[in-house]
Amino acid sequence: MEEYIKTLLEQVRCKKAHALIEGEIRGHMEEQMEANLAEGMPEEEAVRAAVNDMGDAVEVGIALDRVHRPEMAWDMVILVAVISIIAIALHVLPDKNIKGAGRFALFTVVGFVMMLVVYRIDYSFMAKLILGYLGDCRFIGGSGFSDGMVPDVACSHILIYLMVSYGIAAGLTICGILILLSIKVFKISVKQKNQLGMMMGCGCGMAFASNILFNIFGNTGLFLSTATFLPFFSSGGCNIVVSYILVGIIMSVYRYKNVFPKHFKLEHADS
Amino acid sequence: MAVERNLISGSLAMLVLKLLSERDMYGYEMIETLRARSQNVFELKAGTLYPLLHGLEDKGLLDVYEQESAGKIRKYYSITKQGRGHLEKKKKEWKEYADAVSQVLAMGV
Repeated sequence: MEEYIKTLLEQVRCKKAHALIEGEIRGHMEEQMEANLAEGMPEEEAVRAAVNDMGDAVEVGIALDRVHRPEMAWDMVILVAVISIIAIALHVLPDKNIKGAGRFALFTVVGFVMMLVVYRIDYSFMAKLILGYLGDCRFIGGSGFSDGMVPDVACSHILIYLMVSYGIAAGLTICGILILLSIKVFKISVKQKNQLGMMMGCGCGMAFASNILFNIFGNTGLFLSTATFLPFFSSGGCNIVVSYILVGIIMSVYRYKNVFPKHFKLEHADS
Repeated sequence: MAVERNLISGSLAMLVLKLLSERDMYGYEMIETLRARSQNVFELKAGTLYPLLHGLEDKGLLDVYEQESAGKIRKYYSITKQGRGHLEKKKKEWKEYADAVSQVLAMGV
């Protein structure tokens, strides 16, 4: 039986899906074996019959491999690329009011690269790292990133600046795009069958949505404008990179959507 | 009697959805139920069933959850609303196909 499982799993290229598949296949064969034994088959024959009943290990493995594959969230990448280009354009176009445009472009590029790095990382590994640091704390969703930054025009009031220079339509478009991004993030998260993925995705979604909303309200004077940050657009080096990292995380969640089961056992990364 | 493989594989998804539309089941249970109901015509191999189940779940037609019974942890599958819609569609298609075949066979030359 072990040989069958081994041969089958060899066909499934994505190693992370192995736990999910092995549990189910092994459980099935064991049950078949028990039924065979109950019918009076000698043990060796019971095992052989159970394995043969499964079907060809290679064929089955290939069929499963086709289902459990990492997937790339292309429309997310394109959306973020568009956002980045607009953001850089805004800061770099000749304008005396915004300083440090070059620095902004650099951070945006770094951020984009970080996103592409982060998405390949298994998000459950990231969660284990965090758990490792927090000790025995439960991982609760809804992360937020600290928005302590220098309140200047390019930072919290980029939205107002945008509307003044390019018209209200432009401001609304940017808001629309960012809200679209947040919605996409939530949509991906909610569809996850893996619970950790769902929580991490929603956490990223909340981080984006809350920052975007607070920034919009702050800019339009709906409430006291505290230092808020418009993801991707406001200049503030670390926060730009963090915006991209959050997208990288959600892309990682999407990537493994067909690969992980509903629950994992979260152990500490170094155990 | 062994029925043509093509006939079976095309309608397999539909049959699985039908079983699950009645109650949640786990893999082994589905194979046994199918065998019993079809009077041993459908001897479904587990290696055919599981990729099918995973694929259906991936498309959102099925949900999966784990339940413990008699010391064993089993993965149960349940049909989603989308799954029920798909089932109805497939049933209609099958009926059209079956009727057409019967008609042609019944016609004299």
